[in-house]
Amino acid sequence: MSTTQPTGAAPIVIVEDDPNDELLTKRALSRLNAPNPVFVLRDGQEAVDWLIARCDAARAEQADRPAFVLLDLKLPKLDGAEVLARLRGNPSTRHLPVVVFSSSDAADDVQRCLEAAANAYVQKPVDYPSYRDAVRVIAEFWVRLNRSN
Amino acid sequence: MRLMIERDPGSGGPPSSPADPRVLERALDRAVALGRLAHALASAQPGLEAVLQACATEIQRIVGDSVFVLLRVGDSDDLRLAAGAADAPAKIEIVTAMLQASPARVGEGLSGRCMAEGRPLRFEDMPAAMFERLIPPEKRPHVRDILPRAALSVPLTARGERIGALTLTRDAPPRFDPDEIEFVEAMCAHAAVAIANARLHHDVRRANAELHRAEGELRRTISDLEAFSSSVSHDLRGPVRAIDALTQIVLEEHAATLDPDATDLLHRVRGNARRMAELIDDLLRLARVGRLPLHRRRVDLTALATEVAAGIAAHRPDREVAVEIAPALTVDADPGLLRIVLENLVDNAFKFTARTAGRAHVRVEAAGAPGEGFAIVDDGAGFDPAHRTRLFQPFQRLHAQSEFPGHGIGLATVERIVARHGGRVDATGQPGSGARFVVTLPQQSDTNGE
Repeated sequence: MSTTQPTGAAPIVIVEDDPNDELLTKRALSRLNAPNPVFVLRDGQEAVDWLIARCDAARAEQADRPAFVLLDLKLPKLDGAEVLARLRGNPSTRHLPVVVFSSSDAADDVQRCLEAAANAYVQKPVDYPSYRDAVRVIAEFWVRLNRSN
Repeated sequence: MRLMIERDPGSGGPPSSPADPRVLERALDRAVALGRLAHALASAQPGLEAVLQACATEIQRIVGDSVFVLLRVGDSDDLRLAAGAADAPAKIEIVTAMLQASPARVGEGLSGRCMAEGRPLRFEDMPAAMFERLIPPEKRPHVRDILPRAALSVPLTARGERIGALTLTRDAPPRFDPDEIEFVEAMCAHAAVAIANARLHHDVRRANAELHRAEGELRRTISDLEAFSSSVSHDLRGPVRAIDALTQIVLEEHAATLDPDATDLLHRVRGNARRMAELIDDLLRLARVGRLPLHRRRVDLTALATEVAAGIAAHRPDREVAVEIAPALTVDADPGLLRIVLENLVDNAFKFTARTAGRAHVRVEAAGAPGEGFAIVDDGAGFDPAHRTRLFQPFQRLHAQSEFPGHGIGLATVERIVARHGGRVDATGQPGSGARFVVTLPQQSDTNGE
């Protein structure tokens, strides 16, 4: 797990087990020069445990609540849709913004995630400029514009 | 003891006059019996064993003798006891014991010899001792009265092939009269036809089952291969995309420190990564067309081709191509898969007319029987007809990459789709004088196609 000292800014959480995509997403985020720390979780179980603990701590005002989670679907231990279902089943994480970010555009993947109350479903663009743009647009919306979290 | 071959002049019984009422009565009885046999065989359960058993049981019932049917095993000379019927189980046991002691073969034993010679043989006044030694001593007293004293074997011939022999045995009287033999022969003719039919039926069913099994296996293999290529392609996609992205990051973020040579090389790395990504996408599409369910219906080919050509023309705004699509073309096909066929063929036509001097021409027209095919014709680069068959194989290309870029998957995809429709695709052309691709999609009453 990447750790960053608390800065007072809401962290951005990437749940991703592919090191290439982790690198590309982190680089895309770093170009935004946002003050938000970035955490990376590499398997589904770790993601559920960490996010629930973090949001519990945030409720106790002992930590910053994540600004949003960028969730991949193909994950070890628990897949992305299952992670989402567990987050939605816990009062602390029920309203946590989760954007599914997957290379799959299969209709049933999209359907499953929307039924599990994903905030959005974005297919990972194949070429890097579009990938970078997608990450930028998602981050700008959930970090700068969104006030519902 | 006498071993006799039928139809030798000396074996005739007392002459009987047709006017004799007993003769008439017996002829009538036998005609009725033959009718009963024919009926029993016709209504026997399908299957070789059932028909054989019906033959044995019915003939036993009609003549009263024990009946044994021996059949040739496959193409060998071995005979096996395929059915038997007697009024006492012990009579069957005796014959079974005898066959175990000396298995029957064509040319050996009464049944085997009658088969080899192709005519009835009888064995009469047989000494009890012949069989007694085959029976355990303690059982001998029980069987003494039912040991066979006479046997008659008649060959079973069907479609000119001697398939076995039917043997009657009796304990008394110890002889067969010629009239009886003739009657048994008539019954055997019926039986042989029924047996041959049952055998044929059996063979066809077995061949069918084998075909079914082989087909299932083939389907599984194809489906495994497709699943394999699909999963490999998916797994290849990630690293290729990463190569492209990482190279781009280097080019953008380290532009200041890269010399022109390094920049050029990195651009080439990216170009290769992109080509590979496209190739993987094409492969995935090829795998997918084999897996998608086929839903055939009547498709307005003119409308679909017009739409596809407009899309391709919009993608290649630099090209000036006159597209001419015949009116009122229809085919029976899966609309989604047919679109992929048209996209590939029309795109090819655009691609290979890129070097045509002046305005290029692409035509979609009727071919073959009405509603069963179409052709796509261009005046582009054409191809050497000697390499025609390679056109439809994956990764085979007839032109240099620098001349006409491509991966050699498009026509393989077309061929795959057309084959799934039970149709064929063919190409004619000459270098420099265009190509003509003819797709034939025969109409089928079975619209499912799976």
